[in-house]
Amino acid sequence: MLVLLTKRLARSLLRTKLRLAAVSAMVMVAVFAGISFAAYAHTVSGMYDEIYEDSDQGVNLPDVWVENPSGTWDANMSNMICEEISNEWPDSSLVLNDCEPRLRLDGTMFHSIIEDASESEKLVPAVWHGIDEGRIDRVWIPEHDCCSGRLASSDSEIVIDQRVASGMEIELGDNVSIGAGSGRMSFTVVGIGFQSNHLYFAPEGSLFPAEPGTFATGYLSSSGLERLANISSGSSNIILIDVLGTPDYDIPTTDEDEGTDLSPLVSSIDETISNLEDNPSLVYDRSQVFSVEILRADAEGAMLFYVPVTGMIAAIAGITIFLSLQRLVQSQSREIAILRTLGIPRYAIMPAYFLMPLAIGVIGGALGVILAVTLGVPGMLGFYEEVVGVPIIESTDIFPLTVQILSVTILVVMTSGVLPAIQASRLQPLEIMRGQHEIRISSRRIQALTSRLPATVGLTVRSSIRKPTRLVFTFLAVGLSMLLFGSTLLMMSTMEEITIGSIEEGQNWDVQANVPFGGEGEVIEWAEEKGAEYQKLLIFPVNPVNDSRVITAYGIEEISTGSDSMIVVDLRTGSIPESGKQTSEILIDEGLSHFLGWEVGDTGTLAFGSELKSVDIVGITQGELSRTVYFHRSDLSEVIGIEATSVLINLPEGVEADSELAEVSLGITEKDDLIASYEGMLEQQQSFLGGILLLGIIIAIVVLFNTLLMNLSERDKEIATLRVLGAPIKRLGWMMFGEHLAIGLIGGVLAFFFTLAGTQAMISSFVQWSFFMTVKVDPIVAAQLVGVVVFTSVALTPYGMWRISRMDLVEKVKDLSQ
Amino acid sequence: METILKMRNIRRHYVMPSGTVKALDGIDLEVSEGERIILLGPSGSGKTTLLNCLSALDSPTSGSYSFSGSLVPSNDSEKMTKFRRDNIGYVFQFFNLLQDLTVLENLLLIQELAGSRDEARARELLGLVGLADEIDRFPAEISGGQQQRVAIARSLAKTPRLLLGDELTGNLDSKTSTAVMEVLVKACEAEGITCVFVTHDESLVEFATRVIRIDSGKILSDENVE
Repeated sequence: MLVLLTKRLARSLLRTKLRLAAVSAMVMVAVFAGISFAAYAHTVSGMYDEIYEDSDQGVNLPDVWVENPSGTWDANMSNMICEEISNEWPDSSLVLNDCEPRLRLDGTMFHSIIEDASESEKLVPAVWHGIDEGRIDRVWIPEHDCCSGRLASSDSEIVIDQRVASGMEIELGDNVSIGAGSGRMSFTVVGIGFQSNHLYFAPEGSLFPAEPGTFATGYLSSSGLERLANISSGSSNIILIDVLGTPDYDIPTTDEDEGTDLSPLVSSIDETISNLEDNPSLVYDRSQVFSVEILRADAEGAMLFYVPVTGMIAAIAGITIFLSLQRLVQSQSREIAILRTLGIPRYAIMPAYFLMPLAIGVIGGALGVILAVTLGVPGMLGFYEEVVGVPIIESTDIFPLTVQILSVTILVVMTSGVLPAIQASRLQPLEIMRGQHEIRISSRRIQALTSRLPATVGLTVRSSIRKPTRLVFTFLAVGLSMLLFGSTLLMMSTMEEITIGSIEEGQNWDVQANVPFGGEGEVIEWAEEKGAEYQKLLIFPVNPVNDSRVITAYGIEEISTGSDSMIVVDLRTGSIPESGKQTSEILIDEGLSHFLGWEVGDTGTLAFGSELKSVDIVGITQGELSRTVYFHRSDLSEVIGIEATSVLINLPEGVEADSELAEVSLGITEKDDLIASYEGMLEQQQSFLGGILLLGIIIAIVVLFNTLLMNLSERDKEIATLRVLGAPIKRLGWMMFGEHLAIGLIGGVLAFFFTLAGTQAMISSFVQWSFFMTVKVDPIVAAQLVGVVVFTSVALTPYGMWRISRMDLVEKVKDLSQ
Repeated sequence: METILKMRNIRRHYVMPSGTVKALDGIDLEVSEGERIILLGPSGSGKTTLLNCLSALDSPTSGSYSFSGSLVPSNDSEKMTKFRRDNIGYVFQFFNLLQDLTVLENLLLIQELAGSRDEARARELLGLVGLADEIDRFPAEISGGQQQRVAIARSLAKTPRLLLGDELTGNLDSKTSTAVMEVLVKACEAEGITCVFVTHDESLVEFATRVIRIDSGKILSDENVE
């Protein structure tokens, strides 16, 4: 009996092949996306642990960094710092394993380009590290096709980052010309590999990986970098401290402090350094190393999101199946009533409604697994390798993930059969035979609200909301699918706004030349010689008091919201600071206000190493990804004793940055390169995000079409009555258009708010000190979101009209008379 | 009385896998204005097919059908719809009122679809069928007999020239049937509307002015009863 009843239901479902195919495809997509994201999350997460591991294969990532942002320590001082840290090591369960001074400098790579048989030179901003054999934070040259060679041992050798080698077509044995503020030198490439600070290959201050050929990093021997920068032997500006094992650290995305042992150690070392050194220094753990933190956050985000994303798509499929089954129960109520009258028990009616979703889940799930294994997982990992540029050395075992995803999806889908099964089993044969189950009284309130409208309009409104449960579930499903589409759209627009938009509108300079401390004169001389406008810029890292998190302090010559300034601030609230006040007036970014609770009118304290400085907050800016404060340059200069760290230059027509400028600078950033980098990155992500976008739209269309088609088929009787009574198709078409427009508008607006809330929740779950952003509601994006739903809804009207025109009224009249 | 419709040698054949079914097989019919015709016949006799052809829901396979001297359109869905809209009222066995509209709104909708809303007439018709006090109720809130009276009022709402009914009392008990038919006759007389009703129920003959018996697609008898 069960087999026959299931067969009966299966045949009924098979009559709606398109709907069946659509829900199976949704299940397939859920499993496909779930496995692909899960494989990505687990693979990258495991990979970072292995890369950073304190082992022969790992690079032994330091646990604490001490950084000198205002100069270098000579050999004696470097050694003294390590000795003092060892001597002052606090009473802690953590044991000092090693302390290693390092030198890291900004610089330039002079990259030759041969185009149309003529050779030109491109000035590429760079970061150079002096790394010998090293016990901590070693250069990583994995056994993989990407990398080869050995560490630099002589002072004329260099290991080039793999992204630089592939982007600039550099091979082992090639010579590269580089500089660090003291002319240029040639180095021989002996290795191609990676370094923990640049595993995520983004220039400082950028959230996104650099375009090939626009940023360079290289790992020289200590003596090699000292020779390049003309600095005395043994100098350093970073001290790497490694403790035995890998202690937990305070993860920025959580509220609790996981680094209960490490945080006091960081504070203690900070105190030691402050007692030893007058110049401001920074002491921090790995959470403040951008590359390390962003890769951790990326893996964490992927881990966090793959289950909800899978659940969300499975839930949409579940809702669609639920609505379809519910409709099936309704349309088969007479058959069910006959079966019940013939003595079939309630429990015999139910299993078929569980088995059908199970079958859909198994078929869709199996297809999803096949797609994920053959396309999804390799595609996601390939995308990661392409965007981040780090090779996947070993991918995770996807079998347990597949089982997990498949089980969750099938469970969600099976749940969709519960309510229809109960409804089917509870149908009362007598009521069905009398037709009482179809009788329901319309809402008096809606009637009152629409009573003054023409009857056609009233009917349109009332028909639209005739099945509130179905409508609510449909809006929920559309909202969920639009969340996929809308959040991608909002994220893309927000990202474009804060990258390209902020540079194009907020940065009115052509070239930013970084200068050694006190070395701005030569750059200014160059600018004056070329007739260029220039402004000095001071960028310096500071901390909140008793807090190792880093804030970038900008000292700007002229703070302005207008386009007359070289750096334009986007003031959200407050006013522009005045210079020369006893307590310096500053602007803070909205992220800082969010994390520290600082508001306009407050007086805060910033730590410049051991020196504390009170500041008056007069305004809050928006659009900064990293935590930022803006000073007048003269005010900041007075605190730290440095005139400038960069010079912003506006080049006259026909003048370009040349090697003369590069040789006196610590790296040159050209605005056009920066924009090209962002454009390249956004373009690279277009295909991936475009895929998600398309997926969201398709799912929304399927969900909406499913409901509207059910509405249409349910109204056959009503429409046939009107047609027999002489209603023209055109008039019925307008009524249908009005109904679909209303549903589309309500659904679209709800979907927009759903998306907005979802995206905000999503963003707020991953924003942290290092990267903060808020959703920018672009009216065009809002219109697109609402438009897609309205268009989808309204697009069904011609189909509905075609359906009416094909209606066999003779047959319908027979139905109406039965 | 003036002839309102004229059918000549109407045939309606259906080609089925088992052979051709002759639902109507040479029907000749002339109806004068104001007549109330009852079409009687066993199941499958062709009476509903005849009603469908009269209402231009269906097109005859052959023969001619003219209404008020003009040929009735066939095989053109929109022209046939327009013909129904302009001339025909239809009452179904199961009322088929729109559940989301009140009694009054059910009438207004039909008027609006025909292009002329006339609330006063709708109210007047509801008064005529004895439902003046029920105009703001939903169909589900009134009895079957009342619903059928609403359906009658609805079919008259746009002042048709020909009112058709298919087993319109088939779903009602005999007492309610009589009451509904009395209302219908009263309304049709008041409006001067011609009526053709299909039924199995011989007792409805008392409300007719003419009774036509049909079987196997042919008219067996056609007699005036007044």
